Amino acid sequence: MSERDLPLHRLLKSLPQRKAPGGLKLRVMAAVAAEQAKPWWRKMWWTWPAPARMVFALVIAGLAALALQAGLGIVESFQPGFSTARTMGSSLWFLSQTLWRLGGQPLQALIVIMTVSCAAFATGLARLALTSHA
Amino acid sequence: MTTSMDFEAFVREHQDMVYTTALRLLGREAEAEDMASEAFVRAFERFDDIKDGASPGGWLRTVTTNLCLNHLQRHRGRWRLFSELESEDGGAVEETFAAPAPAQDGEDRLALLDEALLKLPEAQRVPLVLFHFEELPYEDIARKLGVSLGKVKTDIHRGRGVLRKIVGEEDL
Repeated sequence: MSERDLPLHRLLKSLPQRKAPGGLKLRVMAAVAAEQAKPWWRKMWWTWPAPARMVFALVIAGLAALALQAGLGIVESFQPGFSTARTMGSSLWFLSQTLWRLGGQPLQALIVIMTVSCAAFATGLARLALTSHA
Repeated sequence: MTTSMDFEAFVREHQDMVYTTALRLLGREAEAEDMASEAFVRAFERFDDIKDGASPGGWLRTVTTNLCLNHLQRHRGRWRLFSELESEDGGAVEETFAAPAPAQDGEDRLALLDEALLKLPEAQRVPLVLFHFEELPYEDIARKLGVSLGKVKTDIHRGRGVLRKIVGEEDL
């Protein structure tokens, strides 16, 4: 900020706060009460009970693995170089099941699975690029 | 465990700050009240985490700012388009205020400045508020609003010029 702007800046910063409308607190408490009355599955994900969050995370991971397999299957029908990535994609499903049996933290499981998904896809693309240039 | 009384006390403590932040960004009392209410509902969802944090007020202020910016972008189209359509010289704002009396006392001048700020065109008011009240750097303001750095600086410069004229302090 330039020297010229400092006086106006100080003046603006000295402006007092406005008083909130009298009904704001009541309105907030009513909204909070309405939120509390909702069933748990209609609230934000991070407020769900831990078992529900775990199941949800694993379902998402499983769907991601299935989607990856399906996608790779489609691509592989055109590009044989994706066979390695497809194998890795199949492993994701097994990995998510293993992590569930071990009772691992769902968020960590999700992070691992998503990271491996990205690595598998990148490996497949790299292979494709290398084989197509060979 | 969140108690209703704890949260009520939290609302009482911070409601003026939240409402003022929203009003300065949105320029309209009804919308400011809506956003203030939404900010507190978000705070309630995470109250157990934020109430003992280093700066629950700071968290609340940031949430309020982000909610207001999202509201502006959602309901008034892309920020860039909106600011291009609106008058950029703030001329209408200056006409709304009578020429200030030379011997204006401090309180009158502050009241005039407060009112003038809310009447600035949105394209000038929002970046000016983000710079002077939220103390964000120009680059962060440009990124948040999705406009160029040059536009942010120009809009803030114009807004300052209008406010200086209105409070009769063209030397400010």
